[in-house]
Amino acid sequence: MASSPLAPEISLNPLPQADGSCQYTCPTSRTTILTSVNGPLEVRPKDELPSHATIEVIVKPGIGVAGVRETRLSSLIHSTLQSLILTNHHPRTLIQIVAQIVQAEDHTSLPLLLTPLLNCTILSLLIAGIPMRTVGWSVHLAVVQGAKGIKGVEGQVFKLEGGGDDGMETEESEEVVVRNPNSEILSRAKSSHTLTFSKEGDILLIESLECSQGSGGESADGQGWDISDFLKLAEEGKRICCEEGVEIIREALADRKVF
Amino acid sequence: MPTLIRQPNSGERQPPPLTFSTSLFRQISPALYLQRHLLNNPPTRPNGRNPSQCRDFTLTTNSLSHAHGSAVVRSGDTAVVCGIRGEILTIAPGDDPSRFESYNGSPTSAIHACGSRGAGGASWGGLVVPNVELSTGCSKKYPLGPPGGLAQTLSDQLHELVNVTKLVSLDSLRIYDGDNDTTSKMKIKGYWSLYIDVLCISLDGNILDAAWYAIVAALKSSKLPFASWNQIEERVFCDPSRYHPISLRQSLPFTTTFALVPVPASAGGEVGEVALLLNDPDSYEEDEACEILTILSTTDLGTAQGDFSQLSLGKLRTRVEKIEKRGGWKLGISQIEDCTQLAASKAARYIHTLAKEQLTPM
Repeated sequence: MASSPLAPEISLNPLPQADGSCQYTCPTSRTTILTSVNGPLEVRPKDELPSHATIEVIVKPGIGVAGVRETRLSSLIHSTLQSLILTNHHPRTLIQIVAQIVQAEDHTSLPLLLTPLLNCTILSLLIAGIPMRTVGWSVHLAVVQGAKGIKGVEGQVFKLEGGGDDGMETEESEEVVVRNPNSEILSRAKSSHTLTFSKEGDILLIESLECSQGSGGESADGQGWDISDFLKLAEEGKRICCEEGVEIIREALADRKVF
Repeated sequence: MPTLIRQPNSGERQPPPLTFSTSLFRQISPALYLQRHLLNNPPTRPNGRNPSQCRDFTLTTNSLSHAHGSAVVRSGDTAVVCGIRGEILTIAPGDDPSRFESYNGSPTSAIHACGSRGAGGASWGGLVVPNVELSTGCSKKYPLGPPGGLAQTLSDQLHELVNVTKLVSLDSLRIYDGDNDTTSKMKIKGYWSLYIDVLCISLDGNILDAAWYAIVAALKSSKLPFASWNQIEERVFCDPSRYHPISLRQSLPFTTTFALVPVPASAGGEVGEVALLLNDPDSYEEDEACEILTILSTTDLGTAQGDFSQLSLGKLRTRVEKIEKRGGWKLGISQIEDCTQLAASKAARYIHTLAKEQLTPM
């Protein structure tokens, strides 16, 4: 799996002083995230919860100071981790997660940043030995009309009906799904779907949105997708997360005996 | 009605059962209180609604006289005021207007990427700028002060909703050179930039739906003055007597939010938990919910538009434009399908109320 072009580059514990840390590079968009996890720590009295650990997620932007977008990203990660971490194991403590965006093609794009941030955070939580109910893996899928002529998508394109076969011989106008799109592909995409599943196949997070370009108004009528198309896509996402995602985590942690 | 918490049968000496009033039970054990209500047959929420029922809402448009458009939405005990103010953004000779010409256009350089709300709203596709204010004393959870996490997240979510839905036609925001009558020679001299301010005056759950409905209604009712470039004075002039509406999409998108609450269920002798979907949660239910699902969808009402009584929900064509689900792990994929049905029926009510409001003379 590690030799596959889709496998992300993962380096564990790049920060020796933190309880757990991880650097994650997305294979296509080269989005690089560095996270550190510290905990259980002493908690500020105002944040203390009587029977649970407090989780704090701080997302630091690659450019400039943190703004509204970073607050939203950290609130998304926070709500996902809230259900993954067994917070009742360390009541009245703080689990602090800091995620630094090191490199990104587009520092404001939520869909491009969310998947690397989540995967990197989950890996560093495992390294830090924070008790978790299960592990999750996130995948970013983009629906593109006619992926022909886009460079660097080999092996990542598939059709929904045709299963996971290599879809490079598709027609020009046909809708295909691209895994881990970079910003160039995303700008041509019709919709973007960030799906996070747990190892058991439960849905942890869905962040799906229409992202076609246009000048708005009546030209946007009729955009969007049918719910049945989404369900097919979710099945595919579940397969990727539960099989390949878990395999990637297992490979990365192979000699650490976390599993 | 006194509520009884049963003690486990411990044998010979049974302590007296612990009883207290319903209102106290509601305060000290919200999760259990909510569960007991939902275990009734049929399941009923503490506020008397059934799980798929949303709150009644009222809409008033154009109640603020100084704004270009405004709306007040009240849904249960959640009330928001939305005001829209248009400001003129002139294009300096060296500026490239192309970055305003498309929603979701990718940034051309790293300078643009520094913040989505650059100077004067001058960012790509960022002519429509929503902002949410929660520090109005609307709820004791959000004290006065700088905007907290929720207010920032909401503002960003609403900005994303504007971009995802491409609600406002960029056509109606352009300001042209006034003296040129031929459309081919018309040059874009500026843009209307719309500042949307949403003030929450009372918060009882599900602020996103209320805020988005207020924004749609306010945009639908707003009127901008005719503006054109005056070549002699070299600035944009507004005609105070002529107004034009902002053109929006034909099929309006609406959000519907659900909260998932875990409820113990026994299936085949095995005791487990299922997640029960609660449409349009209030803040009491939101606090206990393990996950929140929001669906943004458009519903094609066809000929039945405006006539609420003749709708048959099975026939509605619904297209989803955004799904957001956060927290928890109990949502089943099949439940999303049921939610889109409920979203369609709610959208039909939204459209009906909006159409009725627009018909009443102001």
